[in-house]
Amino acid sequence: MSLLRVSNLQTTYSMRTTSVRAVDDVSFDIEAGECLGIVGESGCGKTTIGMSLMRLLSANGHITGGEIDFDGRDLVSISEHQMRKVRGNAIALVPQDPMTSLNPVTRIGTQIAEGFRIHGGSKARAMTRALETLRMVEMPNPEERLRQFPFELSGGLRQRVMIAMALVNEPKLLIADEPTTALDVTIQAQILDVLDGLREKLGMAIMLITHDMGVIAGRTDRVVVMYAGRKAEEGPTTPIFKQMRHPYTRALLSSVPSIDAEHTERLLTIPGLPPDLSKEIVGCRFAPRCRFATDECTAVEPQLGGDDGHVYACYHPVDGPELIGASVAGLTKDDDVRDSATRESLLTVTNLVKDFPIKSKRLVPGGEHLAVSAVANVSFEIGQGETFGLVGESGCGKTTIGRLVVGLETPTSGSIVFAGRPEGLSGHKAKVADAKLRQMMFQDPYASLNPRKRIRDIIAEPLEIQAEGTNKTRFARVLELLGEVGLPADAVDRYPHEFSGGQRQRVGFARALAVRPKMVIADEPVSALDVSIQAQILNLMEDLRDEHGLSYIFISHDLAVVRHIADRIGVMYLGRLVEVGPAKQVFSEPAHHYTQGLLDAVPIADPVLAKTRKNKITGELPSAIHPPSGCRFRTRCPAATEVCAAEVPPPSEVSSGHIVACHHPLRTTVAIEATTASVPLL
Amino acid sequence: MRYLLRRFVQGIFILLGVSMITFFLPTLYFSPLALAIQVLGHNRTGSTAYHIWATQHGLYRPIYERYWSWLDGVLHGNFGISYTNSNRYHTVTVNEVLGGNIWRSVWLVTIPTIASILIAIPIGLTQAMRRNKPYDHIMTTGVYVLYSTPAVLVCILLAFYFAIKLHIGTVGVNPLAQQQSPSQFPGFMLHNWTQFLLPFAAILFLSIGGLSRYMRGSALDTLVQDYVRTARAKGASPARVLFRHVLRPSVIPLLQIVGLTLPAIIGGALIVEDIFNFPGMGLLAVQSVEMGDFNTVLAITLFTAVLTVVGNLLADVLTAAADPRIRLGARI
Repeated sequence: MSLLRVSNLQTTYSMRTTSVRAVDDVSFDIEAGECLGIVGESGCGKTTIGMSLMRLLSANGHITGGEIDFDGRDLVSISEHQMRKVRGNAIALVPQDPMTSLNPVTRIGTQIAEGFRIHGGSKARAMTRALETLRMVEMPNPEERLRQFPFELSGGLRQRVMIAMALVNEPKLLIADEPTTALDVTIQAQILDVLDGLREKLGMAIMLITHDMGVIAGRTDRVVVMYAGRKAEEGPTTPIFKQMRHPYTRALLSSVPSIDAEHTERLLTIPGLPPDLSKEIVGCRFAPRCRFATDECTAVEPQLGGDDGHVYACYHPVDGPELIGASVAGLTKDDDVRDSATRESLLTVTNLVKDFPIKSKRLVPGGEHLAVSAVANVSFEIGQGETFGLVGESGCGKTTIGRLVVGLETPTSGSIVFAGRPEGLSGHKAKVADAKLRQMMFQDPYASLNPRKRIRDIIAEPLEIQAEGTNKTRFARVLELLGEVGLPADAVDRYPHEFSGGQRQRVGFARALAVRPKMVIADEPVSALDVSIQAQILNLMEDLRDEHGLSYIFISHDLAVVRHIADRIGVMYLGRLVEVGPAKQVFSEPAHHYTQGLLDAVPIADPVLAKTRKNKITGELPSAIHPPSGCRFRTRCPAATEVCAAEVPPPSEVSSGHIVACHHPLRTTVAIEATTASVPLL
Repeated sequence: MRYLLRRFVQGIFILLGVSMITFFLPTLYFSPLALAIQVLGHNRTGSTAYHIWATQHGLYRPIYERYWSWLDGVLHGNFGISYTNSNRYHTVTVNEVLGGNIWRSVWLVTIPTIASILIAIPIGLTQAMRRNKPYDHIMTTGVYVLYSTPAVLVCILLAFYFAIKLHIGTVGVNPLAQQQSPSQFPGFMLHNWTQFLLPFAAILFLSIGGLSRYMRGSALDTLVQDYVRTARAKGASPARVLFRHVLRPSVIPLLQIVGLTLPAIIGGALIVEDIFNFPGMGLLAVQSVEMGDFNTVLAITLFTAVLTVVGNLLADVLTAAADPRIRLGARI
């Protein structure tokens, strides 16, 4: 008898005029102590499954069919009062966003103890229990934390608190809904390790809901792949990754850029968008986006079938992953174009520094003036048509560099020089002239487009600022741009809310390209998108780069995405550039301990490889107000010695163009003279 | 603490600014001669007597000097001479004219404001929990009627329906109230509570509309927060979720709004005092403005500003007490 048996679960959200069947006829089991992964794109119903199990659906959501048999009881039919005894007790939830999931005005200890008290724990033991659970999740300084408020903790530590809160009554099942999506890779690895360890120690089952195939691969025993409210495929983890049968599973995996893939491969995309669940769907839900679909697929929905334990709903099952480049024409890119050795320099950044002053004790004379050291002495060079990837954890200063280059911030010191920038301009005129050279593509496609403007006005605005052309020629340019980014011409008169996230990002890209800039600074352009859509945008960015000879600064926390698109990579840590080099070298032969740690923290979508990882970066990012002396990474570095605290490591060369700033690099290096003009300085 | 200190220093500067505006505007408007005529009467022959009086009272000094000596007086608790009540034989100070009026007004503003906060919180909270249900719609309609009715109409309707038709409360306050010292006044109010019922109710009705609307909005924002779902996921009962996790975060923004609407409440009190013959600052202000007793007007304006600044400071103190992020200086 399984711990949890979900049979034919159906969950419906009633809208004003229609209803959306977010989960439709889904069944699965979870054994005691097992880790089941639920994976799929946004809107596939994975979160709704979790919320249905907890019976915590929003007011318009209802379980309209099926049974949830948990430990001998049907959770669908028991009363709300009885359900409250299950919540937080036998089944606990770890939600996605630790920043918003803790009560901001209540102390950590009280919040953890609350769950213990609700389920009959004694008041006397409650705080002790809270401390015990904080120790279980390996919280640093647990005693101190009990008295702290959530805002005093970083995201990673808050997620530990969330887990401690869920563990307080030793649940039999832990529902972890995207537990690490809001966190940095290094912290993600730490949190997943904590969850893994606890599962073993407490023997609890985990239902891990995520969109990240890499997270699923390393941590789960079995996987359920969801598509449009239905279970598309289910099986043990290794077969799902190595011998998947459903074309959707295969497509989902192929659209994830791989961290060790050759960057000449083009990403496979899934064309189109998932179906609208408020409408009646006939046939296979994936058929409209499936390369193998036949008339049969669009007529009758396939039933789940397959071997014992590995089931899939498909008439034309595939067998394992696609051999990339072999079956689909035009998948390999022209390698010659991307040779980075012989480029003319476009952007030279020298000794860039940016400090953000923060409010200090100004009432006290002579009070300390504090500043966040966001960018500290960073130098690099970008050639014409080159893509420079900037990676690092949040708070490392990569976004600030992007904003400095694009002119949204003024450097504290240092210089940013564009080749071909007109001389002798100042003030507003210089800004307008600079805007022709480089444009920005923003992270959040929902927040970065003015919701009250039509697409034509959004895209034409940079042209108006440049006073380029007439209304007529601008409109023609808008149409041309829409064509280039793959949007229909009738989009011109529509508003941003009428488009999906991926389409909006295309609009953002078109806006950036409107004035034909030489460089586009793309700050996390795909991190808000689903993998299949992400692949579409990345391919589009590559196509237009090659077509127009664009340069990119591509800022991302996602190493695999950067590996895929960038020619050269800069790794940032706490305001410093610690390693720069050709993408291939930096990823295959990292010389800095931080780069190595980052690479090892990235979850990879391969269950066999994922289990072999061992190098982990421990601890949290130090404060940028008082950064560590010498090498800023030394507080988390396994190789740190006294010299690291005393001196800022000078740049040294690993191979041509591959430079590292470390006293104890992982590869042999040659010291370089700071005066050599042709070498990008660190 | 640093936050409160900053607010306190800000408050001092605001009061200084208000004092300048209130001093310079009427001073530039009334010539020394006009003030002298007001005090000494029209029947003097020639202008010499008036000029002598004005010189004696320092009205010919440069305006900044006059401001400085006025401010000096104010800081020592002396608000100058009430020109309209003084004559050639004896001088009446503003302090004497104001008497207990200020404290009576403070009672009139604070009691109904606190009452309306206490009533607005449950109204807004229950509305938010029953969003778009009949209860919510009925309350919204009722609250909007209160919110949009002009103060004068509220007073008249109260007086007419309650005092005259139903004999609940009285239309006006006994003039004896004027003679009560600040320490006697609370006892007087309790003893004659029927006289104070309607003016207090009027202020309550004027402030409750906005506050309960705001509370509803604030509670709606809180109810959809992730941490409320976290509380439910712990197995907390609806009552526990409400009192432990929804109430405090929803009330915090309300406190700021009370501080911000305080000037409007004080303005409303002016009308209420006039209609119910409540011996407070408002009534005095109306009379003083009519008679052109500018030192008294000045004092009242300054007190109104003080009341507003103190009210806001109080709201800040309460916010800091309720919200650790502000108390401990989080960068939000």
